[in-house]
Amino acid sequence: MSKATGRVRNRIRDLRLERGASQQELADEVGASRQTINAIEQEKYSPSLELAFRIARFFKRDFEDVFRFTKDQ
Amino acid sequence: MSAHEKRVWCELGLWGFVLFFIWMRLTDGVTVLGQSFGLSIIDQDPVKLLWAYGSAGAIAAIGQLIIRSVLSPRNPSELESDERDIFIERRSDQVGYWAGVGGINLLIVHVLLTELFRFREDMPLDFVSPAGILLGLFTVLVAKEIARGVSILVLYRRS
Repeated sequence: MSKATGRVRNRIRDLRLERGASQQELADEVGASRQTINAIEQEKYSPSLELAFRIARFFKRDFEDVFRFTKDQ
Repeated sequence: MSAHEKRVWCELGLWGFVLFFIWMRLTDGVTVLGQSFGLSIIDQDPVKLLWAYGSAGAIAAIGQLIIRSVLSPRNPSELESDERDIFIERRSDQVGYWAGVGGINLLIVHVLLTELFRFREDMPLDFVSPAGILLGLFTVLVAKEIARGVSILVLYRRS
């Protein structure tokens, strides 16, 4: 079985700006630090499933509206 | 820079000083800041060795206490670790563990090779003496902490 490699992309920054929320407000709401939200937005850190669902719930969006998995070329 | 990163930077400075202190007490060679320091291990009586070991331990413990009391986060949201902090902490603990394992093995290989190829009495960094054993093990202990601290800083930048 071939191993699919890729990365988790997200639209958190766009959705956050659309909603007019700061990184700190999002961080407080989902129980993470502002630095962690910044790292997720920059796609340096992939959140756990639990945190990812909390973020999607904050934006009142489906999970896949916020996060998507893209395969490496 | 988060309070946690600032604390790690200070701890790295402290471990560097502790390492310098123990090498200054147990080795000879070039003079740095008025203290001899180098690759020749000076064998000393057990009381002096115990004093050097105790002093280094006390510097490390007092330094840690000061750093943790001065640089503890003031902002309540920084007091609790989130999942990324825990991930970085765990990954860095692993780096520290493997640095310790690598250091101990390096020490073993060095001692064995020194004994195998001993061609003169005053071999540099001869760890086969009480002072050498103390210096070698203490250096590995501190190097492990330094590797862990560097790993935390790198991971905070990269992940």
